[in-house]
Amino acid sequence: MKRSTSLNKLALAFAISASVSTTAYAADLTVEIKGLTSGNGQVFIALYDKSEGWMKNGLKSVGTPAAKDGVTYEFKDLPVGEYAISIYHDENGNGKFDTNVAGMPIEAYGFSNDAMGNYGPPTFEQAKFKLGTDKKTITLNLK
Amino acid sequence: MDRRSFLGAASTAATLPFLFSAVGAGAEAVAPKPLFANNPRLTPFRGFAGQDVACDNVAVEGKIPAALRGVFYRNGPGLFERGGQRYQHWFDGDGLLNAWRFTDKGVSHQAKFIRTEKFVAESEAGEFLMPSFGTAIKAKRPVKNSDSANTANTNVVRLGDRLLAMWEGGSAYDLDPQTLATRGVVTWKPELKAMPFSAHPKVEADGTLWNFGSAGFGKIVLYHLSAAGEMLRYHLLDSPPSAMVHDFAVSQKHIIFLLAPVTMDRDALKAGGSFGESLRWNGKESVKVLVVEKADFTKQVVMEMPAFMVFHFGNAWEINNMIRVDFVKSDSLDIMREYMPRLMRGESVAAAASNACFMKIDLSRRQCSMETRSESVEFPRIDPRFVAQRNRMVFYPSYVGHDPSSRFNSVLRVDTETGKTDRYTFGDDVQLEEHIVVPKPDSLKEGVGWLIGVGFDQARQQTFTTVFDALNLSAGPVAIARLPYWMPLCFHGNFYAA
Ligand SMILES: [Fe+2]
Repeated sequence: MKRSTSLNKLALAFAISASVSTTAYAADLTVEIKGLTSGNGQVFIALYDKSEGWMKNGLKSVGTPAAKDGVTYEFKDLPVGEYAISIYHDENGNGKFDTNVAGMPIEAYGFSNDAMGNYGPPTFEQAKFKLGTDKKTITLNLK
Repeated sequence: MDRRSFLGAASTAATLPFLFSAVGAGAEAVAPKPLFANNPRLTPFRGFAGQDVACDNVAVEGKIPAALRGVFYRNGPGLFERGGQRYQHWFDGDGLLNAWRFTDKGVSHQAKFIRTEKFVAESEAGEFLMPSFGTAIKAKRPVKNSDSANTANTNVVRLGDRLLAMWEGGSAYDLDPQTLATRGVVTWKPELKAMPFSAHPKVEADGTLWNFGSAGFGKIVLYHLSAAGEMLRYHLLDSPPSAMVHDFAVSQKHIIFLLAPVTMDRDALKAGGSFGESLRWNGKESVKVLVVEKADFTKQVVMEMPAFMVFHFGNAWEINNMIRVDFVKSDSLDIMREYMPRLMRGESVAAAASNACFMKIDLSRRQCSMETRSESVEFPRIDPRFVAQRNRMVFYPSYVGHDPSSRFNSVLRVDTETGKTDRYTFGDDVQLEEHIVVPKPDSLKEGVGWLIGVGFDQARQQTFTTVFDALNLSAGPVAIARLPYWMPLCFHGNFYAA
């Protein structure tokens, strides 16, 4: 079956993590992730700065060890602008976002704004938020 | 192409529709009204408020046969209202598992709601949180996968040390066969997590279990399990598309699907309609007769028949490349789309016809033909020792009489060789559920045993179980065990001898 899915694109996006850009006005973004059902494996976080490439090519992507109480990650020196985030909990540590044989997700995932799609993933527009010149903290819940 | 599956095969999925479905859904469930006050016939459709019930000593009229010892498990939707909302469809309710126990001490009854993820969360919240099959409930919690909305409400089989409560769109739930306590969802293999495991598995005499799951429009997953409950094989099959595949049949060598021309109106779904409301009947299209080899799931043949709708199968068997399959057919989706929502509103309404149908599938000529009987029936069952083998008899609850809004008031046995019938009719005060065959332990002959099943007595407002001599229905029940209370109606169940 076709298992090359946009879910796997989500994973791909992490792999193709793009280069860091710098501008004069920059702020730090702290991402708090809650809703983990275990401390196994890693949580992967992909940061996007535009709708082109949403769920495909992230601006940055990182993996950070899972912890049952929650995970916090800080992106440093981000330019002012609009961003959206997708996350998943690679609980079995195989480096992939696992789906069942029908292509349905079987590992926990989430998006900024806790956006939910309607018959598919949410759009960049639904998940986007603004980052100014001040430090910002956002919280995402895995589901 | 590969866009279709992100979080999502849902975008084209048939029975995995619940993922994300509710987000942004607009329509709300209707508020409950005193709809039933003047319609005592429909009392079971009120449902329970989530309470478990039990009766240790059920009153028995007549005599329970000494050799009839075991547990009669049944499953059905038991709860239809929470927090000012009422489900619009019978299929929506949370699974309520019933166990009728036949022991030397008499008959006992126990019913327990299945503690699905959905039931537990909604009980705590005091309101519906998840979308349902036929009602556009707006999701108030994230719908993670198809098990988020799983009600486990359709059938129950024992497999090894598991009691499996099944639904059409998600995993089977495992229950303790003694206490009926919920153990959790069954994940046969990691890659099968949250996959649909349909509610009509076929269990052969040696315990081999065959099942399927409708895994999206044009995808069916087939399962082959051992009697001990090990997943021996599974296969994701490309099939002709149908948005509603409820049951199937198994013969000695083949697996048979009759895929009705039902499609999903995705715009209706996206606009907030429930899954059931968004199904469309395409009567000008054909039924696809899909025959798959049991020994090699990759080998299939597809034939066509003029449109009809089918929910339930009795059995299939084959001889000389000719498969016989029996089922109950109706003309369209009206039973599901019109009749059931009206029942759920407390209306007296005539059911659309559904009739016993017998199909021949000639694998050599690639031709199909079928004959339809005139009796009004549903829920066909056969002697369980003859599943996937040549059988002669099919048993049904049936309706006879002149009150078109009455429901099944009689039990019917059809001899498929002679065409003769054997029937017992209760009054119109009674509505019967599915009846099943329990073989006598000391005989191998088809039908030698009892026909047992549940009914609702409208005059007494009580639920009962009857025992018939399966080969002499017209003599009337040999025993009736009456509960001091009524129960919501069940869909399906099975008996396991002590
Ligand atoms: Fe059924």
